[in-house]
Amino acid sequence: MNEEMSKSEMFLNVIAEATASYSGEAFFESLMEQMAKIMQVRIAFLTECVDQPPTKVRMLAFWVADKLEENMHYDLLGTPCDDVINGCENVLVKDKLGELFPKDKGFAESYYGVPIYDNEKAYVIGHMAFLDDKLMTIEGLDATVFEILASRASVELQRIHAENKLKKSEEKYRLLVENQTDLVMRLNTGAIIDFASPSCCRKFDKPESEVLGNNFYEFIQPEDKELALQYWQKTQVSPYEGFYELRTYTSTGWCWFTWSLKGVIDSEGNVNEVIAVGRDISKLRKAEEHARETIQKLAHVGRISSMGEMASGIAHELNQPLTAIMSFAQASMRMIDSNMSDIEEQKSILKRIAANAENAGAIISRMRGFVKKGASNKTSIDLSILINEVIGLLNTELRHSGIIMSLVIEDDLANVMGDPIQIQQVIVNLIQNAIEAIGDYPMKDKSITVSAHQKSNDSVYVEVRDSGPGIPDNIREQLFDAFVTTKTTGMGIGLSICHTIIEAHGSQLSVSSHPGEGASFHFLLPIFSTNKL
Amino acid sequence: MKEPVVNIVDDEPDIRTAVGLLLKSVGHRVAVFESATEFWASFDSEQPGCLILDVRMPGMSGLELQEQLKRLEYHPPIIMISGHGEIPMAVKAVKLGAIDFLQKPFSDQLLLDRVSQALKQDEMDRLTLSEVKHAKTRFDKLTSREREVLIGVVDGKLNKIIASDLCVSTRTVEIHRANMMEKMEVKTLPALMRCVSILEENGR
Repeated sequence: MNEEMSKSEMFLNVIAEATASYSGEAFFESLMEQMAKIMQVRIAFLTECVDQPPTKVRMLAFWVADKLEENMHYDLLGTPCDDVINGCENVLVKDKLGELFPKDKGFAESYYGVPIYDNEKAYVIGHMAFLDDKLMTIEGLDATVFEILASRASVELQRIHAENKLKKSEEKYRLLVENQTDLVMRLNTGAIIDFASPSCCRKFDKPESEVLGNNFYEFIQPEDKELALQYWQKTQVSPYEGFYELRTYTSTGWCWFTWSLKGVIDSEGNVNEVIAVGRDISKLRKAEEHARETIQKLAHVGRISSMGEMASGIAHELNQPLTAIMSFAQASMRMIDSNMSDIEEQKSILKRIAANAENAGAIISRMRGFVKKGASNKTSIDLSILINEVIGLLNTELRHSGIIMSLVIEDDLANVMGDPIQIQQVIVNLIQNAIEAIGDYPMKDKSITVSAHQKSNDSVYVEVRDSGPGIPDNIREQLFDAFVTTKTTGMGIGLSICHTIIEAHGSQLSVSSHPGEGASFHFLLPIFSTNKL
Repeated sequence: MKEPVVNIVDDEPDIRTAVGLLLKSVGHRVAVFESATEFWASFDSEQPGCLILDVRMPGMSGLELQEQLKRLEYHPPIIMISGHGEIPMAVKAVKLGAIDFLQKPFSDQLLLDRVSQALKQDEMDRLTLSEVKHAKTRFDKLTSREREVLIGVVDGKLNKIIASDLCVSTRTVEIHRANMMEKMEVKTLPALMRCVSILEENGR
C-alpha cells in the first residue's frame, strides 16, 4: 500500500512539475509525453469530442515512441475509445487488442483508455488513451491517479473552449464595429474617448492615437457644443439615451451628423460608459436643402404667375388713387383761379392728394412684397393681419365681381409658424380660384368665406369656402396635379404649388366639395412655439 | 324750373369728393351717392340734371342702373366712368344711350365738357317730355268721335270725305273738328300735325 501510494504520488509530482508551466495544446503535449514515459508505453494521446453525442474525436496531442506525431481525427465506431467515451468508463485491454478490435489489429496489442468529463460530469468531452505492443500493466497505479489527471485535462480543455468562444464572440463584434461606416465610439464618464472604430479614424483622417484620449466634444462644432453638453446629461439618467443632430469634425470640414448616445449601466446601476454612434447626414441635408430651394423657386414662379393674373385688377387699383389725385389737383387749380376757396380747403385737398399717393405706394409695395423671391423664412405669423393683407391685394377683383367676402377669425387666435409670403400665396391662389369659380355661376348668393380657428393644442385650421358651383368628382381627384386646370387661361400649376407649400408646413391641402354646394379648401398650420426653432 | 344737379355715383369716396369739387369749382350743383341703390332710392324725376356713373361697383353696377333707368319714362343723361378699358362694356353703355364712356384718369376739361353736353341734353329731353305729356293730356280729352275726325284731318281728307267715311253729316264733322282743335289747343293744321307726330313718336 505504501509502495503504491508513493508510486502514485511520484507519478503525480512528476507530471505536475513537467506540465506546470504549460497551458493549452502545449500542456496536453507535455502531459502525454510524460505519461508515456512513466507508464513505459509506446503511444499516448489525448482527444476531444467533435460532436455530441460523440461519434468522432480529434487528437490534441499524439505521442508515439519518442516524439509527437501529427494529430489525427477518427470515427469512434469499432474502437475501444468508443467504449471509453460512450460507455463512460475506463477500459483496459491487457493484450490481444486486435482480436477484440479488428480495426486496431497491427496497430497495438494493449490499450488503456480514460474518459474526460465536463465540470458537471454530464458529458464526456474527450479521453486519454495509452497503447503498447506488450502487455499493458498499470499495477501500482491507482485509478484515481488517472481520474485526477483526466480532471486536470478537463479543466484545461474547457478553459480552451471558453477562450475560443470568447474569441469568436469578440471576433464577431469586432467585425461589426470595424466594418461600420457609422462612427462608433466608447466614452467614459468624462466623455473621454477610449475606443474609436476605424471609421472614426478614417472620417477624421487621424491615426487612432490622436483620437483616443480626447474629449468627444472636441470633435463637435463650437456653436453646437453648448447644446450638446446639455444633451450629455440625458445619458446619465433614465432612459439613458439621446439622439441629436450636431455639426461634427471631419477631414473635409464641419458636417452635420446625427449622434445616438447610450449610457451603459453596470451591475450597480451606474453609468460608467457611453456608447456613441454617429452618422453623416450632410448629403441628406444637402438634398433637403436643395428640395427646399426648389420649392421656393417654384413658389416664386407661382407668385409671379398669380401676379400676372392679378395684373389688371392691380392696374385698376392703382388707377383709383391716380384718378383721385388728378381730379383733386385739377379741381384745386380751378378753385384757385375762380377765387372760390380758402387756404384751409386747399390744404385739405392737398392732404387728400398726399394720402392717395401714399395708398398707391402701399399697393405697389404690397405687390413687391408678394412677388419677392426671398429665402424661405419661417417666423411667427398673425393670421388675421396676413389674411387682411391678402384681401387688400385682391380688393379690386372682389369688388368688381360683386362677391361678398367674409372673414371669420377666432378671437385671440394664436400665431402660427410659417413662411408669410408662401402662406399668403396659398390664400391668394385659393381666393382667386374661388372668384373665378363663382364668376360665371348665376346665383344670388356670391360669397367667399375665409376662416381660421384653433383646431388642437398645436394647430390652426384655415379654410377658404366659396358659394360657387362646386367641383365634380373626376376633377377633384386630379386637382392638385400640376398642369390640370379648368380655366381657359392659366397653366394649372397654382394648386400644385400650394399643395407643396402646405406640405412643407407639415400638413395637407384638402378639398371638400359637392356639385352645386360650393367648395371648401382647407389645411392646418402649426402654432408658433419657440421650441420648434 | 329747378336748377340742374350733377349726380355722382361712385363707391370710391375720394373720387366722389374730387369730382364733386371739380364740378363745384365751375359752378355746378352736385349730389354724391356711394352706391347705385342709394341713388335709385332718392331718384326724383322732377329734378333736372345728369348722372356721372362708375361702371363697376359692388351691389348694383353702373350698367345695371342704366338698364333700370332706361325702363322709366324719363331719366337723366348718363356719363359712364371706368378704371377699366373695357370695350364691350363701353359699347353696351353707349348703345343704351350713355353720352360718353370716360376712362380714369380723365382730364378735367373733358369731363366738364361732357357734363355741359349732358345738361343741355337733359334740358331738351325734358322739354320734349313735357310736350309729349301735354299732347297726351290734350289727346285724352278727346271723345272717340273727335279722335276719328282727328285722324281724317291729319290724313288730309276734306271734311265731306270724312263725313261720308263716318256716315255722318258734314256739319257734324265741322263741329267735331272745331271742338277737337280747341281741345288740342292748336289753331293751325301744321301745329296739329306736330302734336300728332309727337304723340306717334311716343307710342300713341
